[in-house]
Parts: sequence; structure tokens; C-alpha cells
Amino acid sequence: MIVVDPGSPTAPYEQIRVGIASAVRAGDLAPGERLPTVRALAADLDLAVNTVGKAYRELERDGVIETRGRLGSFVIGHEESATAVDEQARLAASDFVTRVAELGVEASDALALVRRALRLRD
Amino acid sequence: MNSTLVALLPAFALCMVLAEVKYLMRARLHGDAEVRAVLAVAGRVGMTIDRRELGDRIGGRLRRQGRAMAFAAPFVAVPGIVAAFWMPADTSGAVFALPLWIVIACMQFTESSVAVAEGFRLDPDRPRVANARRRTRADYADPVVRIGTRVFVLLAAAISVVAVFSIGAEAALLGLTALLAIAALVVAELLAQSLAGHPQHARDDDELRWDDALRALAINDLYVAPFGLAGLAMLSSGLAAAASTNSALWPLSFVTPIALLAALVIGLVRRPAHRAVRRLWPEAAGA
Repeated sequence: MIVVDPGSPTAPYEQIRVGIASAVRAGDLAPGERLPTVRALAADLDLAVNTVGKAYRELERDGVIETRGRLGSFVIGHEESATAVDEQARLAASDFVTRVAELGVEASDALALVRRALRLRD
Repeated sequence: MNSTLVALLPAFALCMVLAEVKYLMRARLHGDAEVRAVLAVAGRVGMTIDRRELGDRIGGRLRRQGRAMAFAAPFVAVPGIVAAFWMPADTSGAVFALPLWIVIACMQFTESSVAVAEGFRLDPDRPRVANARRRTRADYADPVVRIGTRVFVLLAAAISVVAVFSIGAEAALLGLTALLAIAALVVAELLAQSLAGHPQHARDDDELRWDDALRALAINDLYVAPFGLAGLAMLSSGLAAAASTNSALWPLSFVTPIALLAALVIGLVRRPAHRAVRRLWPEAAGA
């Protein structure tokens, strides 16, 4: 299920991207499963087609989904994902961004927190 | 004015008045009547309502559907009235009810379309949810309903063909009834696919589940029209076979009531919308 909150500081396209990526990661969307078309999802969420299109393009770039022409967009199998670790890292970063946005933390402060955490680990 | 019209037009008028009253009452639902109507729908789809706001939203949806149907109902009756004028004056047997069944079929198609089109409404500033999985006709329509109706319509068409070529009496009307049943099946299948893909608005997962349930109800109800027309074709053929002097046709008069009864029992025992909800939301059904 994809949740979009217009009142959230996170951009709607990012909320869609995180929603689909989380569903894939949790196994709610199986590899090979067909996603709603960009237009259909935009109509369901009452958003502009471009907003959903941008989320799909980002997901495609991250290797989470693939678009097969007129057949639509499909979830990529884990084994097909070129860089699974990279994908997981992206998702973790995305989850972090969503969480800090919910907490109302500024982007510069969030980056400082990440740097500090990395320094502590090293 | 022929005898068919004399008998059918008052029946049409009565049906239309009753339908208009039903839809106007639904359009003005409030208070206890609204609660009863919402609970009746909940019973049909096997769901519960645990928030007053959700009940109000479903009630509002039923009111909008009632308003739309109250406006559409008089226009929807037109094909049946045209068929009644076209029917031969001396029409007899079950096929006499053909114009009424045409109205019922048109009414059902319109009601199902309105039930999906008049869905929940979104507020621009409030959160909204959507299914990440693409829904299709097969998600909502029960396999037994979908495939059973196809088999039933084909069986009715085959029996009608035998009756048309063997009996001759009212052959044109029997053939037309069977053709209308096939046409209604095609329309039901196309509409079901279209309604399954219609935009689905919901504020939260409860509303999404309810929209799926109401959509399943509307899509499964679409198959009532081809089923009814096929049943009429089958019944007319069976009655014609029973009245025939050709003993080779008598088995038809046994097959038709058995097939009709079997299909009716299956249709009544199974709750297709209930099953669709359990299939689409297994975790909620178990709760």
C-alpha cells in the first residue's frame, strides 16, 4: 500500500518511491509483479502524472522496477538487481530521510548526524 | 395497442416507480435508516465498521449513488420500453418477460457502474492511500461467478439453438433472447474489466478495503444480467420443448429446470463479494 500525505515535508514523489521500495523490500510486491500504470496510480492518489512518473523513474534508476514498453512496469527480481547492496543502502538512506523529515530535523543537521555516526563507526 | 403492451406497460410503470422510490430514499439516507443501509452493505460483503467516520463516509457514498441512479433510472428503462413496443402482439410463454429483463440488465449495468464511479472522495490536504498492486477483473469477480456465467450462457445458447431449429414457434424471440444473453455477457466482462481499473480513492487502509469490497460487490452483480437473460432463454426453450410433440426434445424440458436450479443454488450459497474481500485482504478477514 502506498501512502501519500500532502502535509508531509517529504515530496509526494519521494513518498511514492519509498512506499513501493518498502513494499518490494518487505516482500509485499513479489519479483515480476506488475505495478499500476503511472496514470492509474496518479488517478488513485489524485496527483499529477509527472509526480508518479518521477517516482517510477527513480525506482527504475535504483534497479527496483523495470518498464517493459507498453506492457507496463514490473518489480525486478532480487537476483536481477545489478547492485543489491547499493539498492539496500539507497533504501536505508531513503528511510533515514523520511524519518528525520517526520521529526522536523533540518537537512544540514541530518547530514551532520550521519557524518558523526560514520566517524564514530570508523 | 397489442396485448403484450397492455400487460407490460403497467408492469414497467410499477417497476419504475418502485425503483425511483428506492433510489430517492437512498439519496436522502440519514439517521437510523443510514445506519441500517450501511450495515446491510457490510453484511453483504462480510465486513465490520469500527469507526463512526467510516460509517458516515460509506453512508455519503450510498447517498451519492442513490442520487445518480434516481436521475439515470428513467433513461435506463428506454431499451426495455422499445423492446415492449417491438414484441409481437401474441407473444406467450416465459419469453414474454424479455423487455422486463432488458430493463433489469440495463439497470444492473448502470447501478454497478455508478457504485464504482461514485467512490470515496479525497480531501486535498489529507493523506491518501493506493494499492501498490494492479487490480484486475479476476481480483474482484469470483471465479465460479465469472466462469459459471460463461458456461451457463453457452449452455442456454446451445439449448436455444436446438429449440429454435426443432420447434419453430417463437423461434425469432428465442434466438434473440439467447443472443441478448451473449451480448450481456460480453458487456458484463468488458464493464468488469473497466470498473476494476477505475481510479480508487481512499483516505486510509480501511477505506481502501471498503472500496475493494464495494467494487467486488458491484462487479459480481454485473453477472446477474447475462445470467438472468440466459435463464430466460433456457426456461423459454424448456417450456417450448415440454409443449412439443417431438419426444426427442423432452430431455430439454428436464435439463433446463435442473440447470437453472443448480445455478441459482450456487449463486445464493456463495457470497462472491465476501470471498473477494477475503482473497484481497486475507489479514483483515482473519481479524
